[in-house]
Amino acid sequence: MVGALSFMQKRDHKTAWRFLAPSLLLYGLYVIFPIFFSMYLSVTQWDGVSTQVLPLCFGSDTSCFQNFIDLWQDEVFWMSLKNNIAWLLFFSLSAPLGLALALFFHVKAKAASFYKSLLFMPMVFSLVVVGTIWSWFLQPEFGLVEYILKALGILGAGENFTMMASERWATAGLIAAASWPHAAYCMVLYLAGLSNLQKNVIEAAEIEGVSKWQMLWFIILPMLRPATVIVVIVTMIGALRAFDLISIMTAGGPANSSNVLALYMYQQTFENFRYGYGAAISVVLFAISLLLILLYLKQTLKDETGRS
Amino acid sequence: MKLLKVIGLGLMSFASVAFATGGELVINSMHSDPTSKKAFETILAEFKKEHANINVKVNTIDHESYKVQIRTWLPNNPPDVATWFAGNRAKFFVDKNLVEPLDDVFSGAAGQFSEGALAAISFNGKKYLMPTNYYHWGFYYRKDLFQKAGLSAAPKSWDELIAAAQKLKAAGITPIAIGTKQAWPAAAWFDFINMRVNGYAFHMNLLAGKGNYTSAEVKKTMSTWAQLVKVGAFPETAAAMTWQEASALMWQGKAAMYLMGNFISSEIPSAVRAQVDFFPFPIIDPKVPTAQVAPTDVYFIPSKAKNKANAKVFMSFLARADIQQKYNEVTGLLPVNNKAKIDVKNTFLKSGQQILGQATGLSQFFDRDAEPEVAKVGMDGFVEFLRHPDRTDAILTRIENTRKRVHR
Repeated sequence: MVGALSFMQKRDHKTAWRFLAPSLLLYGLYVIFPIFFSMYLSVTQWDGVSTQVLPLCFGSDTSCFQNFIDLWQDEVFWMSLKNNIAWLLFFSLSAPLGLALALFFHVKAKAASFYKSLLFMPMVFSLVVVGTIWSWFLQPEFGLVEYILKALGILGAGENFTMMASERWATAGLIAAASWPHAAYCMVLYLAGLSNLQKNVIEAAEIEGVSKWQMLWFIILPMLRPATVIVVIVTMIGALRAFDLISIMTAGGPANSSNVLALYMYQQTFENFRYGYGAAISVVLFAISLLLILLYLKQTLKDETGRS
Repeated sequence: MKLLKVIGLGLMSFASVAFATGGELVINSMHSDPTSKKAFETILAEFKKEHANINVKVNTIDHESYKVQIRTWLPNNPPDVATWFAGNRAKFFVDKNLVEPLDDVFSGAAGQFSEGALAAISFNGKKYLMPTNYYHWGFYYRKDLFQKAGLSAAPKSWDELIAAAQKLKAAGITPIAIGTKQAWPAAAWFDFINMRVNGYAFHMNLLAGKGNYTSAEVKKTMSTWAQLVKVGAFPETAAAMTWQEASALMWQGKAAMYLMGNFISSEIPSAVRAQVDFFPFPIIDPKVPTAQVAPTDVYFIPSKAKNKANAKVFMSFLARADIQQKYNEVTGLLPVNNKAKIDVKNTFLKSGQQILGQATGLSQFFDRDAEPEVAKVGMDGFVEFLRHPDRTDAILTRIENTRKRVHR
């Protein structure tokens, strides 16, 4: 059947396109169009009010990429990028934590499902709620952590728990807060993976007499690979688009020391009304996300095809 | 890419909330909090009684969304009346010819508005905005803690303020509360010190983008401020606290003074109310005339409004002393019309009316007088300065670079 499509196949294609059309239209309108429109905005200097928006280099000697040149010289941009990298590194610790929890609670017992649902609870909360709760935990003067440290005698009477007021440690507090619901999410993903393991392989390994660590490393982890792919991707995306929690807990402060690209983009666009500059940040963020995910998916696909 | 979507949505969705016909009057209001909404409804009922033939429609939009959305509907499909701020935030729209002049309305209310108030609503020689209320800023302090530290009177000069801070510190009390989790409370300090050291004209010129942040004058402002930072007057946990959390330090008796706007006076717990008093920001240089910070709320008519005649009627109504009085009996703020009476039993309002009436100039607050970008970089810089006064030069250079880029 090489060559022209048969009548039936053509009709099938038409039908397929008709069914796809509504979602393609919405996807195009709400995802594809904004991506390209942001790219266009990133070479303009739109203030949000002017009705005519032309690229910067139109009829002037400014470079079209002035926003990107400004970004390169912007300390806050580099600070935010550095913090995003810290997020990528330390936020991903919630993946092994989720795995450990999943392995621990992967037993059929009433108590286990009770604790599982307790652990899953923060996942149900909105991140705004999580941020507010953690703000109170870490609050100097009135917070729970300060109270405990004082009760244990680690902090003296006149001393305060200054983590969130510190340029150095505020990001650590944010990542800890974000990992709370995210570890639970990873746990659920791994629990689903664990319930789909091939029992005969595990039984065979048991008969061969492997140790517990060998079982985990050589049998269970490879079989959990599909779950790991999802976990790594959601963790990466989560780290790159960290926004709500930071906005609630520090608003990027003190003095931008805990800012990240997503929040800085929002601040530049909707607080400073620099739509072009904000769009330039979004283009950079988009490029980083795309690059990381493509690299990871490529590696994963290569491993998969190499295996089978 | 959720965030990219946000930008796209922002551009497309804000379809106008206002369309007007015939005998209508459409008002867009950002006063969405219960108190100011109630205040507005009170005078609106009065307006409807006096002008039964005008069909009034009000769109109340929450404060933060309003600030973003106004940029979309004001040039395209505006209401007949809109709420906004006085000062440079309004000048942005006036310069784009989006605001209708109100000189005819003000000619009917001659002598009822102070020169300071009129300066904040006039641009290029014309009056554009109707101010309905403002409030004062200054120090709220605990008399009992002052006594405990051996202080008998509120500081009147900068040296007295520093001496008071040292005494309070020695007594184990945080001298001055401040919460800079949101950066703006730090900017009040810059506003006041700069106006006290360099004067009102210099300050307003600087914030309008025409001065230089690395000049000797601004450096003097910062070194004056640094004197207070270096005696440990501010809590080191400031950056992790909101302004409300910092005020709790004062109510709990841990901190003695707080530079704040008068909106704080309605939040004083009754248990400590008798111990809390007010003093205006101290004089630094006796040769410099005293100006104050007084953020002012205004109403204006968009130049593309459809029912301008009705809108002018509403503006004349808002200018009246009796209406401003009724409005601010609910808001708890000060009426701008100086014929309007205030509750004389409220000592905070009384001090406010007094200091604003005597002021030679009224600034609107750092983030309203400066361009938004400069304001953001500036306020973040002031927060950093409170922890690291040694970084003054780097901070000022950063603000100056932003100013140069914005006003190039």
